[in-house]
Amino acid sequence: MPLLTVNHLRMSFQTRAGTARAVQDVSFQIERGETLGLVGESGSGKSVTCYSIMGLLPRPQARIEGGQAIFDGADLLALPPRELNRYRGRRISMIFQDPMTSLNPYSRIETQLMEPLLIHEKITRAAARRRALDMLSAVGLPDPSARARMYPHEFSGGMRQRVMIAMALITKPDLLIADEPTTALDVTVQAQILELMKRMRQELGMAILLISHDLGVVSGFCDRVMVMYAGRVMESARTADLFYNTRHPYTRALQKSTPALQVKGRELYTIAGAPPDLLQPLPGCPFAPRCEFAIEACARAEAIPVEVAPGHDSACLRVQKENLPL
Amino acid sequence: MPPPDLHLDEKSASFWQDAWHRLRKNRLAMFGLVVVAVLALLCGLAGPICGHIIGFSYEQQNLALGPVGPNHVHWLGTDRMGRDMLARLLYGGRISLMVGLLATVVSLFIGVTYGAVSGFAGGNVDMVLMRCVDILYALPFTIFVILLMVFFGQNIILLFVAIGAVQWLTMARIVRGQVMAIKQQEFVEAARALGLRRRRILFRHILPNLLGPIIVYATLTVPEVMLLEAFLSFLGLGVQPPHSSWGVLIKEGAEMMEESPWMLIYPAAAMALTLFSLNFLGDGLRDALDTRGSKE
Amino acid sequence: MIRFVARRFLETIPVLFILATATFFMMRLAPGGPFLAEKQASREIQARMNAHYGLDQPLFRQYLRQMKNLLRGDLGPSFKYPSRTVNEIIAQSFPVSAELGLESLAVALVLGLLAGIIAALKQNAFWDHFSMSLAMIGLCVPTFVMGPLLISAFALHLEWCNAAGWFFPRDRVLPALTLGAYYAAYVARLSRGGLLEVLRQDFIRTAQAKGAGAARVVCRHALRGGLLPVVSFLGPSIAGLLTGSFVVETVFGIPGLGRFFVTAAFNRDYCMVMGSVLFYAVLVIGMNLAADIVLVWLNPKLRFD
Repeated sequence: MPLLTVNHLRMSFQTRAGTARAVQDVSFQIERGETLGLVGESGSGKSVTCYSIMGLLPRPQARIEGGQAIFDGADLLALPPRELNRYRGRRISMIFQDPMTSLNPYSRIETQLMEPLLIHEKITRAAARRRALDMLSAVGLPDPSARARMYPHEFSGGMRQRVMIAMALITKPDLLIADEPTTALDVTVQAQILELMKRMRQELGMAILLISHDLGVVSGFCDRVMVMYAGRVMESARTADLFYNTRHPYTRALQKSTPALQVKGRELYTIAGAPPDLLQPLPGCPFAPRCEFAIEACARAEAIPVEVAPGHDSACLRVQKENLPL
Repeated sequence: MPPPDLHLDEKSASFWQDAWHRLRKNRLAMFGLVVVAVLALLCGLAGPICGHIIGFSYEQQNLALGPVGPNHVHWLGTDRMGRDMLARLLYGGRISLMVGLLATVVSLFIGVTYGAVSGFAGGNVDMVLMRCVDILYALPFTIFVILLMVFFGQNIILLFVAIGAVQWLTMARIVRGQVMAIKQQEFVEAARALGLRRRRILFRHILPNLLGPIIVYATLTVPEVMLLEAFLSFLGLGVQPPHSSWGVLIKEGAEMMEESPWMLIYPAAAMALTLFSLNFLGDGLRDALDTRGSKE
Repeated sequence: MIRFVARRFLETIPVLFILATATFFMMRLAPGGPFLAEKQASREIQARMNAHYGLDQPLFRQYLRQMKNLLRGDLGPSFKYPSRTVNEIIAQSFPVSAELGLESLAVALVLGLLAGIIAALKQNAFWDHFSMSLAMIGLCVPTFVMGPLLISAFALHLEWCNAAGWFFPRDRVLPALTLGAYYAAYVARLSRGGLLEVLRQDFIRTAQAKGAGAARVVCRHALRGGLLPVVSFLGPSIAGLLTGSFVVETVFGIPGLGRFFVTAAFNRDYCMVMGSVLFYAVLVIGMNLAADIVLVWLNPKLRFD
């Protein structure tokens, strides 16, 4: 049985201008020990999907309108907060994009590291401290005992992200959700953090849900990738299949837009148009207005992912019906 | 791509609309706004109301009548000298509100100028000016104003100035802080923008950033000032006869509390209601004008 | 840390000096003198009193003498109470005011923090409005109204406490409530604002992601940052609390420093005014320093400035 099964998740935000439908019918699964990449632009709903699973959305503006998130038999979306807390930090951990603001500036590093242990396990402070120090070494921080007594602002960005990873993995969770963990970091540090995460994955064997807008990051790290747009899943497949056998115009357009892959000296490729207005979702496929392959039917039929090849889903109508070559 | 100028326009034009929307949703603040407006209106029209509706003026004495509880002739009763309480309340409110407003304006004037100069100048000038503020903070307000009032006679204008002159300290600090924060942004903007656009950007950005805290603090200063005036009247240093303010009325009422409780209740209630409303309005304004992002 | 305190100390001396000078000249330049109020005083007696206290000397001479005395710590005699020196009066009345002040502070903190925390956690809901409204009472009802009202209700009608006096522990309750209510309103407002600000930060979300319950999130994560504005406010306010409130002391018949403070100004009791001003200034500066130290302890980011 998969570790996490998300079925038809739907959620929206109440704003003064109306209801923004941020996630419209998202479904996916993660097996134990598997790494799933979640890719999309800003506003695609990728981060919000994960916050919904973890119950971290600001209420009352955010509302989960439907769906399930079944983790090891229990529907996380239906649990009361006290029950949910038994999973958060212990079986499912999350790391965030900006390590500076995500760490408590008023608290020492060791206190923050020890906290998940003290909350979830019956353990003495001394034992928790020892495990915290071990964890700091494991993530590659030199001189852990001195560093543990310091405050977050005394660390560099890369070191802080290592601390966040240590904090998330100290309880040996089954699933780690990483929300754009490298976006706020320098390029060289990005590579180091990704290496660290690979190493921890090998040692601890946890499943990882990696959110990113960067295809490059995802390609070297994930077993499977899911592409989201305007709150819907557009395509999902094994990593190699997604890149070499792309089955959705949006994914193809994303690949073409990567500056590093383009011919020098020519004008950069951009996807024409702008992401859709979540307040007034149009019927049909959300990418249709910008898609070079769109036909009339695309604006009417709802974009639902369907298996088009073994282990490869696509929401593109034309790929499903005509096997459109991309 | 729209030109950068348009973006800035959008940002600041809708900032006030945004703020107004947020304020509207805050029920307590709206309640405060309405109450203050109604009270101000009533007190402002004290003359016509006294003349046509009540039929008594605030100085009309009726010594034979003495203090009498509320009845259908004197709706809120009378005081020791037979004067109509409602009339006294309206005229007293006028004075109290005026003192509040004018003293706040004085402190605004001094504080904003001082703070802006200090913030813009920066460096040593700023350091010296702020040190002066720190020193003045250590002066016990009570004694300072009492000394002023005792020495230089009891003049209602002096009252405004004296009270306002004490409140400007905090305003100066707030304005200086804001100016320094804006200064950092402005130089970045100026570096990027063309020379011509700079002044416009200055006005589009400085105004919302500075006006916000000033409005909030001014709204919150008025009730503080009114309390101070009441305190001074309690000491006999505030408003002098023939004028009276709510503070004077409260003092007289406190003396007659046991026998004629209405003399205390109505002015105290009026003052409390006004202070309440102004404070909630100020808090609401602060929430509404907080530019640093909201949960929306 | 020691350098920080030492620097403050050094800065204080010129401040006090300027303060003393300003107060001195302001008082002397005012019309009237300490003995004009004495109703039966004839010119000769006045002259003799003035000479006795050295008030007939040239102004500058008096100033130098005053400064010299101050440096010795001698605050001079009280004109109003000839048999006592200012030092004595302060020494006797300050502890009373201080006790009242500390008890009022306790009331302010307990009521204010309770109201502020509840309001922040239930933002814009009924409990937010309710607790802030309750807290506001302290700001909107002047002490000289609240005092008599409380006396009327609890002492005269319900007879739970005495109406006045400072003899039994029970006597502390009403004055502390009256004085504390005003500060409680500020504490409530500031802690609500501070908490709301902190609760918006990302690290609160991290704490929730770690599985921390609501109590832990508030107490261990939010409060530290949320209380910063309260501490900033309390620094100078404690000085005011400690020196007593004239109104509360008058209404409840408490022999504290506040009363002496105010009547001294009325009576042109020069030495008493000077002594009070300087005493208050030292307290404010001391309390500001204490508040700054606490702020640095609460907010580690400040430690390396």
